[in-house]
Amino acid sequence: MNRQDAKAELISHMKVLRAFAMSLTRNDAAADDLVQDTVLKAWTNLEKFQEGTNMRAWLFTILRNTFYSNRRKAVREVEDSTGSITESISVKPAHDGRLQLAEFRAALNLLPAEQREVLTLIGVLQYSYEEAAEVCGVKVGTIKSRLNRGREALALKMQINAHDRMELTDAATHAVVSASGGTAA
Amino acid sequence: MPHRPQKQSWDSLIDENLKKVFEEDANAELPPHLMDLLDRLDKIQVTDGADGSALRRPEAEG
Repeated sequence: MNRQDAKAELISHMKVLRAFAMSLTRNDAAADDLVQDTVLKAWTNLEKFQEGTNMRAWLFTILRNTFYSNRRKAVREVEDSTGSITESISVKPAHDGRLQLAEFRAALNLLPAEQREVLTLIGVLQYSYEEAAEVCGVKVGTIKSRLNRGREALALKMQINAHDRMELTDAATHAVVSASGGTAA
Repeated sequence: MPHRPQKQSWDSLIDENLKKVFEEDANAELPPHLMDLLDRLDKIQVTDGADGSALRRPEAEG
């Protein structure tokens, strides 16, 4: 493949590649480093890319292999010490769509990377189970299992948040009614 | 069964939120150092000895 054509295609995938990196790392700086490593590996190994095949899938494979390889090396490091943990604690019950999405992000951050990855490939990028299995190097059954476990955990968190909001609303209503001597219309 | 439609609606809601999160991330501007990297790609020397370990078939994970 002509290097200039390859570069143009590589550039066209950059933002999606970074979003995929975010789905794995949930951390801006780590995602940027991962994308940088991926681009360098892809560029210096371009002759290994088979022209006519899916460059995005190839880049995703490099990126996820790099991510899991780095994670194994850094197994003792605390993951995202300033990101996911503090974010999950600091998110308050939501009262509008944007905050609810922040709650969802916080819940997503708590999932294992393997589940976030499958949720992204299938739920967002519309990969088939078979395609996701090929990208992740696991069996279709494993993909289905990770997808179900991820969705169940998110659904549970969203139900709890919705319930909390209802209780807060009830408490606020009760407080208003009490303050007005029970004469609120 | 009442469970099925409920699960499907949660799945749809989850996928909708996943797409919003992904779109937010994909619409974010690339940081300057990544833009610089793209500008510098042509100047990066490509050698046969480049480590291709990340280019092999995906490794099975847990």
